[in-house]
Amino acid sequence: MQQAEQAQARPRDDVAQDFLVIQNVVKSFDALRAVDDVSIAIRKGEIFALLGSSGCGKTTLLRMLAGFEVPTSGKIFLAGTDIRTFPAYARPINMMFQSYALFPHLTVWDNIAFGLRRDGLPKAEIAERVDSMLKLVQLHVKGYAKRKPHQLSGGQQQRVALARSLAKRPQLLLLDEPLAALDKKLREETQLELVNIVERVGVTCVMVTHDQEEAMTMASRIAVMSEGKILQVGAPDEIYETPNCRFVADFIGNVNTFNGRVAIDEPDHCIVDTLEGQFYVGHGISGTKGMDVSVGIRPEKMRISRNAPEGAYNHTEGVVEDMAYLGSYTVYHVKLKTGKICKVSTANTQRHIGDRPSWNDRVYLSWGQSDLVVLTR
Amino acid sequence: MSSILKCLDPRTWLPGRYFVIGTPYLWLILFFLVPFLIVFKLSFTEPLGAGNPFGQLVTWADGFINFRFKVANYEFIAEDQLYFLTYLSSIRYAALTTVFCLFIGYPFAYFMARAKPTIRPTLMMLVMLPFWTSFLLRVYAWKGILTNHGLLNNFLMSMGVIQSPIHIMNTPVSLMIGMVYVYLPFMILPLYSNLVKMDVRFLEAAADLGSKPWVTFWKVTVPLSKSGIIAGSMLVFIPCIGEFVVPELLGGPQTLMIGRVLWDEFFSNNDWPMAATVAVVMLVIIMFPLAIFNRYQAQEQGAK
Repeated sequence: MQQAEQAQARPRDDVAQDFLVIQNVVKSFDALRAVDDVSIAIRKGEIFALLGSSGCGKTTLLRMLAGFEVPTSGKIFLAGTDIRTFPAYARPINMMFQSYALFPHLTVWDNIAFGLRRDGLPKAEIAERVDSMLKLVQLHVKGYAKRKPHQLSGGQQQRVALARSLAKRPQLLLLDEPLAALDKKLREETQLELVNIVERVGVTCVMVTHDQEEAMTMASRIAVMSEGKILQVGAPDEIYETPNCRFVADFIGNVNTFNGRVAIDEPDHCIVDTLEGQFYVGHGISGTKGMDVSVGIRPEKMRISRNAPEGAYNHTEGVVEDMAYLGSYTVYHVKLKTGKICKVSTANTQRHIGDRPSWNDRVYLSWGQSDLVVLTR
Repeated sequence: MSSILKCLDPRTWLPGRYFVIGTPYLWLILFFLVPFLIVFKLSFTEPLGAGNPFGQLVTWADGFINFRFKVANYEFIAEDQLYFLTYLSSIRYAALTTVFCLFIGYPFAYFMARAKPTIRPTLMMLVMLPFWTSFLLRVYAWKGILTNHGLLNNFLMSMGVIQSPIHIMNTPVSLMIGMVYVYLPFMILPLYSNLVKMDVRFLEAAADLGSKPWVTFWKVTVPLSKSGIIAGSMLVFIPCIGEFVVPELLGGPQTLMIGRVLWDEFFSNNDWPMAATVAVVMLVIIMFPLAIFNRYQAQEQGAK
């Protein structure tokens, strides 16, 4: 819990060392506050993801970085310069658009050269840079350069878009839902390839996505957004294992939450009373005795068994209501005695296991004292 | 149940499909191809004079079939400089009208397309509003504006800008004003429908890549609206070539156009075969830009 708090509120003094600093940025559309007092500091060379469901303000924030929207208030510093009022064409920032926005009347080559020509670079240098970009995204063969965008597959278009946005060697690369237009299989392949290219070029990168897997695979840090606000900033594992509020816990992955009240609050542990019994949490919390809290447990951190576990804490019992075999793991839906449905997943590490709980079996669920997350918000 | 089966049976709906596809073809055959063939036939006959404007192509005489197939009309058109010059001036005025309409219509359509979606229908309405009054009346109104003692000259003189009236009426200037005025909506509408569909992301992408608004306009907006420009230009150029009313009312002796010649051949000279020949040649001239347009469209279709 405390760890998460620290991750979110980075001390202001080291803001100066950060490459892109977004300071108290607000964007209002009439009565709606699309982006509501957002402050983030992004380090040089990192891939930073803005994650949230549609309408959470992440795209508006990205568009303000690109220069398509002007913040209502707040500042945006890029390498120390406030770029808030710079027009889009004057910013050393390039964007890879959602569904790419490749110019349909230009060839692949001309699309990539578009930005370089606007800078008035000499012809020889443009040719050299375009060719190296084509090599970078592996489209330098088979005459791809001479094709028009509609003659390419979705994956190839995505690469051209990436090459176009990298050709000017921007200081900041923006990716707007970079893989949303690809089908699932191709998306998974492309995720790491995209990261490889971005890292090879060494450009600082801000991406927007609604897909938590995409964010977790690609980004070094993630900001979870909801209703225009940033809820939590942290590395993927930080956000998953120590979410700082119910929304983040619920948005990233699956979670079983139990509402309860703090019964014992000690520096090194606490006990939470819930309808499912007493939960022993193996670390101190920032709350106080008698406080209403939620306890979250990820499905994969619960153990399911036919045998009653020992001890007074951290287990409950129920009936298997449903089970879903998903290949690499199986998800059980267990109906607890209070009527609550609890999700438990077990990895299928062996091909054949004889005795597994099945439909309508009475089972016990248990978990370790460090597998719990206490959520006060 | 049986009615559902009947609907699913291709034999029942196929005639309907042929009917739907066939209707426009039937329309074109009846009201375009057949009249054209009649005109085409006429162009090979010879005039007979009073009361009988054209002769027969095929006659029965003494048990023989006589073909009187004359190409003299075409030869005459090729030889007589007047026709050639008139065609040339028609093409010139049509081309000028197209260019003026494009230069006035493009910004017009552009701002309409970029206007707030709520006021776009109103702007559209305003463009089409002139169609509500008679075409002839509107062209006549220009006469009232442009004559020596018309609205424009009186206004300028009362303001003290000019001392004596400027002679505009019955000159190429008055003709151009009239033609551009009449044909402007035909340029604006296809351009507007093209520009309003344009994805703003292309403009944002251009700006993002360092392109200033004016460069974006030339490098992205204009190329992407090419099909709208071509469609609008065709819609203006083609009817302009054969235009009769505007040159007749606003033009003068310097502005002879082929529509005028056509009229004279028909109604003054009563020489229907010659008039038909003039019409056929005009059609051939119009075919060229149409063919180019069709080829371009086919390419575009192929591209999508």
